[in-house]
Amino acid sequence: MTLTRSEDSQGRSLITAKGEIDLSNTGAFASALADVEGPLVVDLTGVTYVDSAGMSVLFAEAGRLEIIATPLLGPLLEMSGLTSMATIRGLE
Amino acid sequence: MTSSDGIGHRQDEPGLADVFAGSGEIGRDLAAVDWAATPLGPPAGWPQSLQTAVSILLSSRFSMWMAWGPELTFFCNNAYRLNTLGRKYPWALGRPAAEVWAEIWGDIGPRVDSVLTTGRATWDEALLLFLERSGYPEESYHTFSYSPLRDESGAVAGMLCVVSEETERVIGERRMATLRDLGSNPSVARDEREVLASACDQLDRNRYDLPFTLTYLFDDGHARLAGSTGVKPEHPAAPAVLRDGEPVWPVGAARRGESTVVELGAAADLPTGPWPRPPAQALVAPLQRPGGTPHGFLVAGLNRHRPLDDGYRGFVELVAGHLAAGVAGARDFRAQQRRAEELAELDRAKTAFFSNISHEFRTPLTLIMGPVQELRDRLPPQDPQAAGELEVIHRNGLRLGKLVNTLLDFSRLEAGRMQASFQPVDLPAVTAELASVFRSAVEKAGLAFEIDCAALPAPVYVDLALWEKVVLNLLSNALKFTVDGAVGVSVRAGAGGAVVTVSDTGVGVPEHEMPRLFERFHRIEHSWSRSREGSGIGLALVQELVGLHGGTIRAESTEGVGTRFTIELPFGADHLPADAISREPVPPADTGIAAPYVQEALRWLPDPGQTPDELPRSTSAGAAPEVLATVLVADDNADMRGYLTRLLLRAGYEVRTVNDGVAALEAVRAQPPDLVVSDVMMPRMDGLSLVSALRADPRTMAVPVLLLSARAGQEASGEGLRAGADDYLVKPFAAADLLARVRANVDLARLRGRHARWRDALIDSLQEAFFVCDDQGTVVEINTAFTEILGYGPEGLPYPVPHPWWPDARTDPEECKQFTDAFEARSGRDRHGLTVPVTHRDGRRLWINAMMNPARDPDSGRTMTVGTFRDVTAEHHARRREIALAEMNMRLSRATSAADALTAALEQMERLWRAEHVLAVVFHRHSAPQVSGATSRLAWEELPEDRRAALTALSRNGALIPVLLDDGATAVTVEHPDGPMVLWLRLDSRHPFTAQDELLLALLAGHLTQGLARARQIDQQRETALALQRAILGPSHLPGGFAVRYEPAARLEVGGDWYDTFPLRDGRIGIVVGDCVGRGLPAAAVMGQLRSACRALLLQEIGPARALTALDQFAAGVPGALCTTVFCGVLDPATGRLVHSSAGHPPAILALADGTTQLLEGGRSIPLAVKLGLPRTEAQCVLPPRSTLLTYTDGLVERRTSSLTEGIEKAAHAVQEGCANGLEDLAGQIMEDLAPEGGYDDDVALLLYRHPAPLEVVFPAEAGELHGARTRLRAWLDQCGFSTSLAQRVLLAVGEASANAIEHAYRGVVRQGVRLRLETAGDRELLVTVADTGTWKTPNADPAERRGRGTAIMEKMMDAVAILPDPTGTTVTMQVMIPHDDAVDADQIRGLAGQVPHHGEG
Repeated sequence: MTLTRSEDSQGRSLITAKGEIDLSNTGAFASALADVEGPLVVDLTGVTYVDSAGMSVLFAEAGRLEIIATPLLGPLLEMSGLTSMATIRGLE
Repeated sequence: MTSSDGIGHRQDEPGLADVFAGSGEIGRDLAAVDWAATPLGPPAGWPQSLQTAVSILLSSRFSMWMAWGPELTFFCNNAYRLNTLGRKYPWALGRPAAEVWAEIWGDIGPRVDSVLTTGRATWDEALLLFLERSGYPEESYHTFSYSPLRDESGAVAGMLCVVSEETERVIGERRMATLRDLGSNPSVARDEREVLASACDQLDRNRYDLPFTLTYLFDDGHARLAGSTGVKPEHPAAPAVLRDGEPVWPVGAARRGESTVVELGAAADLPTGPWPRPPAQALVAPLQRPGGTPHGFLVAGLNRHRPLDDGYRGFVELVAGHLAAGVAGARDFRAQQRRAEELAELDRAKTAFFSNISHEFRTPLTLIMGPVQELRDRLPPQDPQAAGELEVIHRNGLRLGKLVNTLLDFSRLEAGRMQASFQPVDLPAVTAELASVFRSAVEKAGLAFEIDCAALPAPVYVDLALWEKVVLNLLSNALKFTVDGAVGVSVRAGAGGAVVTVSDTGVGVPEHEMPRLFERFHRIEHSWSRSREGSGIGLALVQELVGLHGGTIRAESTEGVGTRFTIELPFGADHLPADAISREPVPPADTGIAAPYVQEALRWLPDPGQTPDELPRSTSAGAAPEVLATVLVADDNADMRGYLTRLLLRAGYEVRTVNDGVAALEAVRAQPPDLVVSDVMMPRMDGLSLVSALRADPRTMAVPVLLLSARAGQEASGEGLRAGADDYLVKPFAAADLLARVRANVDLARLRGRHARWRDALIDSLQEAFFVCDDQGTVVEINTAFTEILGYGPEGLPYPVPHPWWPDARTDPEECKQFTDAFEARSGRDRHGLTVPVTHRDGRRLWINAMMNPARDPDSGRTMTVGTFRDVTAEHHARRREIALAEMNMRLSRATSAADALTAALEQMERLWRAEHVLAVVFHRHSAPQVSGATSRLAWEELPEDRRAALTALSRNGALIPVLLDDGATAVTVEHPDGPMVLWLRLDSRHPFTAQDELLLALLAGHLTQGLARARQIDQQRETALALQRAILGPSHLPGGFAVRYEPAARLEVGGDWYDTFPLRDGRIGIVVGDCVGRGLPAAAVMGQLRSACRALLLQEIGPARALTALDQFAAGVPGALCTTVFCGVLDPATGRLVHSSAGHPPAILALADGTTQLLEGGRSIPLAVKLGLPRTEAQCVLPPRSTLLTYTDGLVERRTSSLTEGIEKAAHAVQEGCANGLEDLAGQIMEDLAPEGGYDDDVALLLYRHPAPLEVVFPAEAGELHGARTRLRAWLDQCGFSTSLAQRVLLAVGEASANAIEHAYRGVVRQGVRLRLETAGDRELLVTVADTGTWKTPNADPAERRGRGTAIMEKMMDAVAILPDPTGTTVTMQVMIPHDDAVDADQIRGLAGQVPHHGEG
């Protein structure tokens, strides 16, 4: 997993994750999210795998997150109920 | 080895060392054979099968021999030694059979070969063999069967021959046939030449016993060839005329009545008959004539292949006897014919005379004399005139009667019919007494009567009645011609005889008349005589009568001085015919002869005196028969019965009397007399009916009958004779006439009886039972062999239907039907005979060959049946044995285990003996006895206690010896591989267990012993073979994705098919499936080599085509490897790429996920080593995801009833059908679906691969390992061709399960591994297993929410999830259905399976 911190076109904080998020790197993922204050856009389009541990990190920060995903992750995000707690784009 | 060692040895291996023990001398002689020098080796090393065969052989009472091993080493038992082997014993034991029977090997060799090669028994009946057992090639006949003996492997290792020698029977029957034919020549040959020609015809038919014969008859001082067989008349050994002393044949010895054996030189160039060499000897047998020199002699060339024993000599002498009888008969016939002609001539000359005298004169005389007598009695005494006239009539009547009687005497003498009976008498006393009768007449004539009879030193034999006539005639003559002087009678002893003189002082006879003095009817004209009466026959009669006595008479006379007659009679009886002599001295009795003479003489005298009252009366001593004979008298008149009885008793017959014809018939049937004398007119049944009834019954047909009737005349007698009477007599009859006829008929019947006796003797000498039955089927005649064979004797005759020897319809309905069917068919001509069962009088079951033919009885015209029974019980049992043994062998050979073999054998035995119950109990060495039954299942404990004890005792008996138990059961002990086994049979009590059954049981038990040993061997071989097969067949560890099956053919547990998989570089896998030609161990050995070679070649990475090309070279050097088919492939399991090449192997089948199948037909070429140097091609394909590859050997698909294509289609269908199953299940399913009924009959090897192989990943339970595991999982899911979404679902579920294991399982303990396994179940389903070995602990550090979320994810992603916590670890199993449309691109998949030609370099 690689994480890149930047800003999006609207100036919001943007963390772009690539690779796979699982039990082995959710700690790093969670720290990266915690380092950013305020609304945060998480770009998961480069992520091919997120497990429940990764989902826990997203749930913990759900209130301030806008998530950019791909259809590959759709079933997981929908099933977990994250779609009702966070703004998620890119599933359709 | 000490004796105790020997015993110990035996106990260890029962039946091994003592195979010859207990067999007497032959056992010792067999033990003495140097077996080590034979291919069989020492007996201790013999296989069980050989020992069993030898035990059966030695314990049998039937004649047997056997041969075993590569040289067919010879064994035989005692019966065979005695019956057949002769001088070859004990030399023959242990020698090659071809050497023992070298002289007949040409005959029996092919039969032995046939048995050895086909395993089928042969049967030969009465086969002619020339045996060299007695020092010469001996003609012998044997009925035998050869049956195969098998060794432990079931192969034919030898043969057993059960023999019965039938030489005696065959030769006996042949000789008997010749004698029978000689005796039964239907044409009554009358001429000597015809007789001999006919006899020679018969002799010529038996050149076996009589290669040639010569019949010589003696003629005036030389012998003349009168008949010959087998040799040409001009042959030097057959000169037409032979004189005494000529060297060719011993004429002199034959003339003396001696039989001679003549050694024939080799140079004689004699005919050989049917034999290859001419006779070495001839027997010269005289044609005996009773009481005279032989008629001639018979020269019989002798069969050099038979010994000249009593039987042979007797046969030749019987033939000679028959020829002699024939010659004598012909000569007698000729003599009789001549005599008959002469008698006929004589009769013609005298018939008129004698009939006039005897019949026309006597009858009126009787009618005159009777009334005259009555008149004399009634005449009143006051009429002397009438009395005188009556006296004249009476006297003349007497005179006439005397004349007639004299003439009758004379005619009898002439015809030789005078029946004299000479008795030893005191001649002086008898003569003096006779003379005294004349005393009164002589003295009344005024003459002196000088009687001077001195005692004699020896008796003189005279017939008293005839002697009376001699003396009375002479005295009468003397008185007649003597005027005065004296008449004298004297008896003196002379030289060797008595001298009787009667002299007178009468007128004398003129000298010129003397020569004609004794001439018949010649009357001398005397100057004086007391009477003119006289027939001129008296002296002629006297001379004849004296001659009859063997004496002489002469006369001396001087005219005017007197005449003297001198009779000389020899003493003793030597000069008299023996049959006319009665040794009993009989005192002189009264006769009626004297009266007329005296009456007549007194009449000549001037004053006739008183008629003498006491005249001697005749003893009509009829000639008694030589042998005591019985006459049955049938007459309703008691006086007549009494008269006939007295008459016949006095004549020396035994007499029985009955009142009528019915009683007569019963009496004759009860005990046939020698003659029946019957009145014609009788109540109940008259004489004519009696005759008819007697003639209609074969038993009484031959009894002669003499009918008596009051009716005279030709017509009456004709009626009697037509009815079948032998003679006919009209009442009143003369006693002498009756006696003469009785005698004649008795003698005639005896003569006729000779033929009947000859016939009876012939029939009785037949070895076959002979019988005659009438048109009702009633048996009316049997011979002695019949009684011997069936036990029923002639005393029980007649035997009406059903005959007592028929099988009982109630107990043996089947056998009864067999017999009655054969009997019903008896009216047809029957040339072959039928073998049917009969019951001996003692209840034994016999099998007979019945031959029945119709024959018309010439007397009654009824259709009779003439039949013979030959006892073929032994043959029947031999055949039954063969069939039973063949069946047992078949059953045993089909058995696949010892238990199976035993059940099959018990079933057969139960059926064979119709046994109520059959048991086999095996006495295990270390466990409880085990009971088996044919139909029932019983445990040892369920048997009655006494039977258990009996069976246990039997288990210690010697093997193969049947034992009859007290309760009627039969048992035999058999060597079972697990210990002694007792076979126990309870039989149907109506069918006793015979010696034949015992033999059969022993033989069956012997075969069973071998069969059990063989079956046990098969059991062991199978286990060994399976172990071997497993060892060499394939890898013990298969790569993932493979399933294999190996199924040997039904009976052969090891074979030439194989499969192989092995790893190559870069994770590739070598796949080989092959099929060697043949079955069993040899094929397996070839297979092992090819398998190793093929693997080695593929490991060199040269590719399938070149590997097979190289394997061609290798296979060419391995015997049996030619034509092996091989499928050879290299699979890359990562990509599914398969490069393959096939050497004549059936195409592999590829079942695709879309439900279609393909055959991998590329890269195919001819089988191995067929053509060397042929470049092989290979093809490649990529196995689409979730496709299944089936490689196999042709045993899976090849069926006799359908084509290979059909088989392959069926296999493809089976793979496709089973795609939804796990691979192991699929393999089992295919094997099951394609198995033919009764199991595979060829080896089958099967190898399945499903692409991709299941995924197995084990990684340490560390979060950092998850990524690596996921990468491998992704690759595998890609191989499976799943859609991205499905793959993602699987990834998520597996990831959650793995994360759980890492997070929870190993908290607080040393971390171990997590194991993943993913497997497609065909193309329908994916199975996932995630397992750890830790303890599932309740999570406390992490929020339960998240773990619950993980589980929720698994359940959402998968169709089914199960978490099974366990003390040893936790296993999570998950399943997900693969949607039908999930495939990435079906067309693309199919395209991948294309074939790429590739040329190998080899």
